[in-house]
Amino acid sequence: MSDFKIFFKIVRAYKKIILIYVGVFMIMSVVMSMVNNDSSSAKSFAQKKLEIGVVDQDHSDYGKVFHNYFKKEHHLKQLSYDKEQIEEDMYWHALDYVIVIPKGFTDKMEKGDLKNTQISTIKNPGSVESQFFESELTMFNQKLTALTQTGETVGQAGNIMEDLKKEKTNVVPATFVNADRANKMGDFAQYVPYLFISVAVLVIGMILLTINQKEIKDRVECSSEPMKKRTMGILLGTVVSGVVVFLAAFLVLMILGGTKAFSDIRMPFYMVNMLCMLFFSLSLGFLAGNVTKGMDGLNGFVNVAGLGLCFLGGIFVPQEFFGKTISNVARFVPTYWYVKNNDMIGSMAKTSPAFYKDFAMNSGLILLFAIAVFAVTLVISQAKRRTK
Amino acid sequence: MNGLYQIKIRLRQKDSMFWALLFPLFLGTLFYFMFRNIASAELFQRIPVGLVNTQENEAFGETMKLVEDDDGVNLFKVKKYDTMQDALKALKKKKIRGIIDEKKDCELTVVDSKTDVSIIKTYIDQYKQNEKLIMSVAQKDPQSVGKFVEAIGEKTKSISLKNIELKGQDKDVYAQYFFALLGFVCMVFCSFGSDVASGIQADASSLGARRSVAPTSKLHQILTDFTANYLISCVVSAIVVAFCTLLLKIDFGNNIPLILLAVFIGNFVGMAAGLIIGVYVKGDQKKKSGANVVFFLTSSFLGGLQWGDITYVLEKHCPVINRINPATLIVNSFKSLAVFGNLQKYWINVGSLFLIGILMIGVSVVKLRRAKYVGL
Repeated sequence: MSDFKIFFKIVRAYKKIILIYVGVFMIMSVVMSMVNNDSSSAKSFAQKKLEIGVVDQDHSDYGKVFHNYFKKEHHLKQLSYDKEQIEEDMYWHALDYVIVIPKGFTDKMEKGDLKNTQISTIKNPGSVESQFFESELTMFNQKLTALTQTGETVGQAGNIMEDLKKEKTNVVPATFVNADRANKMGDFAQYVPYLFISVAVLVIGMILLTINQKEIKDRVECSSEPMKKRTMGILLGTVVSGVVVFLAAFLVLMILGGTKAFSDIRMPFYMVNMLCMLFFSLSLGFLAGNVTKGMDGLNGFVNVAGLGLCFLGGIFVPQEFFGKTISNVARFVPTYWYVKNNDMIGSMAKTSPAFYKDFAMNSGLILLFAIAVFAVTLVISQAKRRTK
Repeated sequence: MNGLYQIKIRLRQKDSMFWALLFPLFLGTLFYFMFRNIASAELFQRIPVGLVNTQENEAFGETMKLVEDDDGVNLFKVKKYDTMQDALKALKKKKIRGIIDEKKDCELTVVDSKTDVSIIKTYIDQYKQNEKLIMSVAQKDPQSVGKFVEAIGEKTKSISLKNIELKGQDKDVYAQYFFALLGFVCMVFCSFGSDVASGIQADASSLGARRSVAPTSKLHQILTDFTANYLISCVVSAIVVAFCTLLLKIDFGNNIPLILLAVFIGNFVGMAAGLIIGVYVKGDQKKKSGANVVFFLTSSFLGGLQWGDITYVLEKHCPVINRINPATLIVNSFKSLAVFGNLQKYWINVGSLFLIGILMIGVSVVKLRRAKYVGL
């Protein structure tokens, strides 16, 4: 019990910095979940609207047809050709794509002078969405050209194309998809491992570094209290402080879920998944406190463990983008299985035996990682003691 | 002489040196293997699509199989299913990205609305529009249908697009993560700055207490300690830059002197921030170290290390953060060089960084020089 009390005495001594840690990582997770929430829900199919700049030097029908055709799908901005300003806007993603319609373009197009008919474009470097818009533009031009070649003017072709736009594909969600798939709960839960791992490593590591200081350790070692009891006291302190952080994260999850959160079928599964990740994070914090020698080491450990595990597990970058090699390596980190569970929970409309089986297997794997890290920590700690 | 001792002290702190080097090399290698595949995954992977009730419109499925992207690679991997239930099972297992039901006018069943789903939807829209267009041309003038179909399906017979290139070289959107990594490396050196402050203040360390009674001026002590640690930080970050550019072949703008200049000024600002933390945060080393962690992680987060688009979101809602956050300024100076080839922007970013560093040093020195201790 005395070690349990000591644990919380140290927590009290560093309460300000601990609160700052929890606050900062919590804010980061909330910000990422709020802003990154792309409402990628099947409930309402929404194509991302791009910022398209239009430099119309022609001031004729092509520009008007272009505007009418794309105005509902994208945000169109009329610009004058100022390359520096365009680059500046692209630099800050205020523009995704720019189209320059040269003077006399409509006339040339109607005359079928395609060899001398060219549109200049500026793409945002490396943006997949810009490339996607370019293919939309190419298809638009193909239809418009084909129509003008049958004798229609650009204006008339534009009217026909406007009419054609009514031919839209009906997009529906699959029956197994939860209608609230894209609510912020799932997004926040996605970033929880970063919060748990960082806070656990920094806080538990800092406390263990204090307890493991030479003078304190030497004093404790010669006390009559058995090693097992001392370890249990510290472990209990670790679990209690971990549960406090978990409750804070769970409260935020409930707030983000709104009133629906209480009746949401997915809530208990989010909770279990987060608890599994908490136990792994606490084990990692325990390891950090035992293997690092000072705060510099602890800071390094939190960077490698926190950012490394989150990138590799698919928390910051979606798992579907992983190549085969990275995907195979990622299976050896618990965050990978956490994200698998989180995705499964997010899109679940009702439970099924297959869901229970997969969920239990993924959660079990996370817990196995937690046990393995904890066992390694105990071995290291014992070995250190024996060497001494 | 004091500077030499400082270098020796720093080099003997193996723990801090090890992590300062290990982290960027580890994360850089991880980024390299992760993002090397992402570009190809996004652009060139065939999108798996399921078709049901195919007897309704056999031409649709056959045409879909033939669709190619700009590089002549088939865009869709089409699979026919006998029943909707089978197709739904495949969709659930992520074997396909959408189901097209030809009986229901090509209704598309999906799980989300990511880019590949948008591509499927756009293809169906275009197919239906072209079909309607051809029918209407056939009704008006049956003789011109052949020419019309040829024109509508051939890119070469349409208006050509001429892309105006930007001056920079690196158009890989994921290069941003490497820029942010270097920004992070610079900010991590705030712990060096914090140590410099602790080594000078009499109430922060026993070394500080000893040195406060020495005849050497405070300014001299700060300058030599800071310079010695700064030199080491420059060597460490130069190794990281060499690793990224020579081994991982990341393009930071192909201008090594300017890349190094940005990194070295970044180190200067990182250390200056650490100096402020060391001077103004009272308490033991753990508290100062905690404040350092909060600083470098927050700055790197705002600079886009965890999520690259954050700078664009900030630019819309709170642009001032992008102008003063050191990690963002470092990222943007690389972006100016590598992506936009804009030297003016580079100098604005680097200049702002330098000014922020000078301001931080000034604030710290004023506080340190005025420090008087009644008792310790």
